Amino acid sequence: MGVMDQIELPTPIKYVFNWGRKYSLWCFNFGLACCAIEFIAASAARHDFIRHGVIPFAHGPRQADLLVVSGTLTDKMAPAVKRLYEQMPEPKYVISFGSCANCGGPYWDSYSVTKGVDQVIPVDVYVPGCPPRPEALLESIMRLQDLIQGESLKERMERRRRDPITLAAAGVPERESTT
Amino acid sequence: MIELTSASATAFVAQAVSVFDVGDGFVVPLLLKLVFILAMFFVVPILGGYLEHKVMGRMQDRRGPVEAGPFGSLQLVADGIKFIQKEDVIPRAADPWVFAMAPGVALVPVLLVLLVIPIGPGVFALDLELGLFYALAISSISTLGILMGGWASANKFSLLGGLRAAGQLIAYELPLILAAAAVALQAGTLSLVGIVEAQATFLIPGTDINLWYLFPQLLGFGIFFLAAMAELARPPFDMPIADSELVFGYMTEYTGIKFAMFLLTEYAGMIVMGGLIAVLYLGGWQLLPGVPLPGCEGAGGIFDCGWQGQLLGVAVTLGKMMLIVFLFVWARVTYPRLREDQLQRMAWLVLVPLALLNLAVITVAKVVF
Amino acid sequence: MATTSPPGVGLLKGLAVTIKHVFSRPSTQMYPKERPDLPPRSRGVIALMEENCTVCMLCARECPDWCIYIDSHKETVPPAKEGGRARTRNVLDRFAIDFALCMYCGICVEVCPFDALWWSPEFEYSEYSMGLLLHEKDKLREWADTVPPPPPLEEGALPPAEVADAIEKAAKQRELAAAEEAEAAVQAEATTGAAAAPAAGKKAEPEIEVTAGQIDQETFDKLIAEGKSERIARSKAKAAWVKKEKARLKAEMEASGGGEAAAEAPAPKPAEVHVEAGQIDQETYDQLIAEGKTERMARAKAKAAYVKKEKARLRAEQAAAAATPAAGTPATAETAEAPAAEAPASGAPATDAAPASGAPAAKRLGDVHVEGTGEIDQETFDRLIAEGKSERIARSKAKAAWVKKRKQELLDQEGDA
Ligand code: SF4
Ligand code: SF4
Ligand code: SF4
Repeated sequence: MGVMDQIELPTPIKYVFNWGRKYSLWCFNFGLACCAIEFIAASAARHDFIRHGVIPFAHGPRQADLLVVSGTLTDKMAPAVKRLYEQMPEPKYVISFGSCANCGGPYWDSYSVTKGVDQVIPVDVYVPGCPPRPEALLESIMRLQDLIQGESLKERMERRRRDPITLAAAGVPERESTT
Repeated sequence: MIELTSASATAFVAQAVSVFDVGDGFVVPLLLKLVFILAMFFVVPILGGYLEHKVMGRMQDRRGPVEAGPFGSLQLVADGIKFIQKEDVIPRAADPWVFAMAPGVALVPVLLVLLVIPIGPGVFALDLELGLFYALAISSISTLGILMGGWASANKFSLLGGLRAAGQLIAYELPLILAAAAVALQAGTLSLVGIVEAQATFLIPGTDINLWYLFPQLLGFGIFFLAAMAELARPPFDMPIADSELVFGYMTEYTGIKFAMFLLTEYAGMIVMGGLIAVLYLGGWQLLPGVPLPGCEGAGGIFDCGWQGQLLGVAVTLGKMMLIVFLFVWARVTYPRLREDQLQRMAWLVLVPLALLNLAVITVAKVVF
Repeated sequence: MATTSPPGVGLLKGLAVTIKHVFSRPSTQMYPKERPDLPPRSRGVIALMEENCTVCMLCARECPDWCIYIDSHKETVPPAKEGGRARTRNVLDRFAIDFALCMYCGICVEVCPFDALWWSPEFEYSEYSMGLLLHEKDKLREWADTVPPPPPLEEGALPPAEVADAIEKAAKQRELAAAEEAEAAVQAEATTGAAAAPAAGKKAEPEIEVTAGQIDQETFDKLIAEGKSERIARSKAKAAWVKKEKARLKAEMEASGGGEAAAEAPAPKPAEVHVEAGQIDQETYDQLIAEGKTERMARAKAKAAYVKKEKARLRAEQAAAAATPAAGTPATAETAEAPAAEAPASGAPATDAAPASGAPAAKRLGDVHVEGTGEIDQETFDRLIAEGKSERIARSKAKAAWVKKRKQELLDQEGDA
């Protein structure tokens, strides 16, 4: 980091740097409920997301680039997610995996469930499903990789500084009307 | 027969001539050697890492990296590029200077050990008379870096990891050195090039069958291999970074480039140990026992080579290193992690006595024959 | 000690296990290149067949997550007949499912009484923004194109009893048609004949040829080129083929005397009629059911209609007395006409088209008693499947079609005799 988020890099260097980030997503799994099982399935032999450069070797948040929140986030757990997210070094990405992580899912009406992980941390890709298939995680990872390949670190960091919770301010398409 | 060479009185004196010593100048050979060492330091560990990814994948019924580069071969390059972009986090409670220096202290010794490891006929940076001693002595310094990192992180997991690493390294340094001492004893020299030469010319007493030291010292090889694995903190001896107990051990608080340096230390350490095992037990760049390299004359048919012989020699040594890496990975995939007390017991109650026994047997054999 | 093997053997065994895998083929599915083999009803995404939705709101009410959003307004439909009562009907304005919230329980699909909601196995719709996971009705309609046909039977399985029966019946029917054709040819030679025979021959065709399973290569290629998945392209191409084929046959038929057949069709047939109050007028019944009336009401009205019609027919018959033209040929044409006439009306229920062309013949259908409603008409079944209907719908419609055909057949036989 350091200067890398301050200056716009020339295109070829940016391309190489983005390529590096794209294929080296050390992944930190925040498994909170049933969806975590699908995440584990995606990391195991049949789906094997190491093929895409998602390395599940990040033992702690300090080494991770990608946080996959899979499962029901309760209000009690929310501070822990936020804390771990903040312990991750920039640039960091978040995938919200499953309905619970997206917006509470089946527990949207519960007194104790946070209505979506994006209430506490910014999310890059939302995966629908309850639980989503392991292939859906792979697909979302490829979507994230497309995002990374096309992004500018400077813009991303500026956006992050402006608004630490949402990424929607620029670049990421936002729906016109919400319900 | 122990022949003392003329220069043996002076330690740290270059013996054989390296291919990089071109001309009489000082700068050109230095630069060439620097390039050689850095290539060894950056490229070969990446090869090893790629091999590890792939072998581990196949052993676990997976495919390993596929998308990054052809067949995923650039996976570790991508990792490297990623790490230099990461934010550098220094915990507020950490001791910033020690914290920042630790990865360097861990990494530089590995770089220094690479100086003396010969990977082909004349392909080495330096041939020290006390090469083996130097390699084993220097590589222990890495522990200091690990301990520094563990302490400076101001994190209890890091500290525990660092202490475990120190305990483990002290415990396994002893069998490692005793096993290596047996080799030095048999070869009659501490120079690594000398050991390769001694292996190429070693004949079973009474016959003219050439053998590597692997066969007379099978026990020693086993001890050295296990101790090397423990030195490197490779699974199943990875208590210092035991991720189910200590998050990531001494690396817990490290991010970005500093973490990458620790990681590189681990992989380069694997290469160094692979190189040492190849030189001590597997006949260095000798293709097969008793088979001279094409285009080479000299002792055992593996010295004084043309460029083809040199390239072939390098390829053979690298192949042996990768074989050792493969064995490391094989053990890593197969076995679960030991407990800390099991680890200590194995070092002190099994490996050290066996290493002493090995040393005694070799000494007796050396005197008898 | 449970084990007796010497120390170290276990360690070696472990090494053997891992090294074996190095030389075996990894079980990894190369996902983006290799698609997962999903069962046809796997719960990927919910598709909406908008035409089927009557805005009954059952799905929205039953959804445990309340993630279905429906807006509608009422419209007044002018009376069908002069002097009738104007009706109101719900028109769908908005139908949205929030897939960020949906828990994929399938209750909405189960509960929908009009088969408007379907499971599609597509799962690749993750988004950069959560709002985009709210799929509006056009998006949901697109998913409907990905709903796969029902799974094929297992290899070596016996076909369902009704299907096997229907195949047998169809074969018999074909024989019958051939026999009639021959008879017609003889008749045509004997009498002045006109073009009745070729017409009959032609019209027997669609029954035989229009079977699903073939695909329209042109459409298939086009869809593939547009980047559609093979599965989608194949099912659409199948539908396209059936449509084309039908259009072709119809055109052929019209060219070679379809008009004549239509003209001949209303000719009354000599047959014994039992005027019993318990019978219903099938035509009326079908129509009422198609309009969404309850069965009870439809049955009562159809009964009344039957009695009325029957009386009128008997009176007409008495007036016409003797001397009727060749009876066999038009009847055959009638049988052949029914499926062909249905073809253009793809969305409409199968029963709608029948009264239009086959009205007089249908009058009689109610007279004949046909047993065994479990049998299905394979042709209709295939066609509906090719049109992307679900198996359930196709089966029930095919059953109805079979009964109708069977009745017609019996009538014809009676007429021949
Ligand atoms: S989205 Fe469904 S499967 Fe995933 S954690 Fe929530 S309830 Fe479980
Ligand atoms: S599947 Fe269940 S949760 Fe999803 S829309 Fe249907 S009823 Fe609602
Ligand atoms: S239950 Fe079916 S018909 Fe009723 S509103 Fe829902 S989709 Fe439409």
